[in-house]
Amino acid sequence: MSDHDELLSILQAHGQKFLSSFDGGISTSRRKGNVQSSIEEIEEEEEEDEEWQGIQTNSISESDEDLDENDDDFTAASSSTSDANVIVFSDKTAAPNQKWDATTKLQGKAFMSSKISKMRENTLPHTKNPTLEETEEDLKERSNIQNDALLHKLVHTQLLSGSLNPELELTPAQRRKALSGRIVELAGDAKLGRGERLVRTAEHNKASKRVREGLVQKQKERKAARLEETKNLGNYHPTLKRLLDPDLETAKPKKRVRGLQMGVGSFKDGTLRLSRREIDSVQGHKGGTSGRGSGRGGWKKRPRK
Amino acid sequence: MAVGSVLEYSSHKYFRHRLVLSILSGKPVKITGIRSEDKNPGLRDFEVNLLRLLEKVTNGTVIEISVTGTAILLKPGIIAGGPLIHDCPLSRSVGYFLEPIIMLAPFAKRPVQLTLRGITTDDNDLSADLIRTVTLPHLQLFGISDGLELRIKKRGAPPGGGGEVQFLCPIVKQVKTLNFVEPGKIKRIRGISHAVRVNPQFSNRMIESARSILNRYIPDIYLYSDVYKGEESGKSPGYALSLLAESTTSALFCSEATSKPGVAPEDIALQATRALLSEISKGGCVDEKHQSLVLFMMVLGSEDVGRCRMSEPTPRTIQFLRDIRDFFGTSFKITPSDPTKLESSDLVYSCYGTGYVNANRELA
Repeated sequence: MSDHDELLSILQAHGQKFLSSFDGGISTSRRKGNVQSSIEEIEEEEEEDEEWQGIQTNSISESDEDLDENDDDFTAASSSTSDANVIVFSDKTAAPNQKWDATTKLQGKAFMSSKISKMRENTLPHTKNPTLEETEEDLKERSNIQNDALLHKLVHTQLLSGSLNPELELTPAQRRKALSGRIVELAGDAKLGRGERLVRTAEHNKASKRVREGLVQKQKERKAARLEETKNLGNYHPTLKRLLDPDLETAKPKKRVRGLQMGVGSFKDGTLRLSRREIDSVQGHKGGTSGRGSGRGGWKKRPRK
Repeated sequence: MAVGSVLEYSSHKYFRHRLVLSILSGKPVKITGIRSEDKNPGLRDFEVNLLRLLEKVTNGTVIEISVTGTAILLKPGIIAGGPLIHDCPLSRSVGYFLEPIIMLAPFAKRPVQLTLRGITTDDNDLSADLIRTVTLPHLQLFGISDGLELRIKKRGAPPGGGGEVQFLCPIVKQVKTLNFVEPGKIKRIRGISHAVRVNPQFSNRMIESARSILNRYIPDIYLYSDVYKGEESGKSPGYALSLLAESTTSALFCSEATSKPGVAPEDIALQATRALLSEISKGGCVDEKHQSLVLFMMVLGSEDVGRCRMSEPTPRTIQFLRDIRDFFGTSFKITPSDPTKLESSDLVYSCYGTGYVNANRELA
């Protein structure tokens, strides 16, 4: 029973110390005296604490000292019970080694796919590589498209309407018009290959009425002759209309807007897309009383998209 | 074809592989004494169904069945291939019918596109999952890979069935020689767990209990939960777990377990896991269920020595090797892989390929 009492008193002392640490160290010397530290370890610890505190007395306040003391005591009291068997229950299904990232998903998709050639994960899984790395086919395809674009540019800039090319034997007037046409194309006012035509039509407009009308008439005749020629040769198809008549090339059929154009929002892809303003306009403004004055101008019509 | 070249066998056992060998070698085969002492003598419905399927796949095959059904004579034609649909009976799963077709399909005239309907997962045969993940990759070892697919459209558990699988196989001119003697170490374990028409938690429970054993061994384990719902889940409830292990040299080992009434999913998973571990412990580069397929492809390879390291042959494999000797005249040389290690039962099987060329194939 005396052991039991001793332990109880130690426990009580410990509790008091802990509580007193919050008081801000009223009378530390008294508390030190009250501690019934019959266990030598605690005494030793205290002595050590005192020594330790001695070194640090300059920097820390008394409350900190008390805290440190209490902390040290606490660890000393529990050091004897540290060799209990520790059993850890961990949930293996959490699988810490399974980082659900793109690689795992890709591997999963490859494994579950019905194609056997894809199933064999012989190649290392790419994380972002399918988007960044270019396969050979991609490179080939891109170079093909690039080549097409380059060809188009060359044809319309150097190969056919090269104003500086001496082999073409252009007269000075033709050369001037070709050059100005190229400049218009570079400036962006005309599409590739159409610059010279633009320049020439601009010049035609400057001519007198009779000249102008004669030119127009001749152009019409020539167009009709060309059309007949293609039809006679058997090369004609209604889809080639735009090719044969250069005026029709620019006219692009605009998409007919469907619906009555009344109501809010736009309906795309099976969903009605509303902006915040549209919702507010139907529901009424939140800051109603303050904003009503400004909104008194009437029902504002928003431009239709 | 000389009349004397008809090969005669008896008993219903090893039925499928004898038919396959006959069709490929072109030698007619006569099988007698099929269950002659049984209460229900003669061919069973699935065997008759298999004969019908073989008739569909090939062109010019003549099958004669005796009155009592205890004897058949098969005069093989050429393997035609092409798109086919076949309904399998509910007594055996789709795997029973797919295995002989897998052996024949690469040598067809046109690429095989076979749709089979019936039970997809069963106790007796390989399930569709295992065929897709283990059997067909073995064909890749022989150079058959481009266009090889097995799509599981619907799952069907016994007894109701209702599953559908589609098998696509390209044709090859000749099969490559195999030289597979390094088993390597297991680097990865994958599994497919599925549950149809039952609580989907069964699938998760199986995965958890399988993991409880497998996690001790290697970190790279992933068990997929394959979900099929509604129409695609077949007519009967059931669940199964299929496991496969892949080694560093791409050797595959597999095992599976299907649901039984009254047995908890955890026990099913443990059964599958223990079966996988025992397969791995047997060693070799090819597991027991695929020994026949690999040996078969080795025989049909180019005229060169093919080598493969496997565990001890099963009785089925032993009979298969005997039948290969009858049909193709090729015999295997089986030697222990490591004479110094007495406890390892690995054997190296080597043979001289017959140089079989697919003469049927459409060249256009």
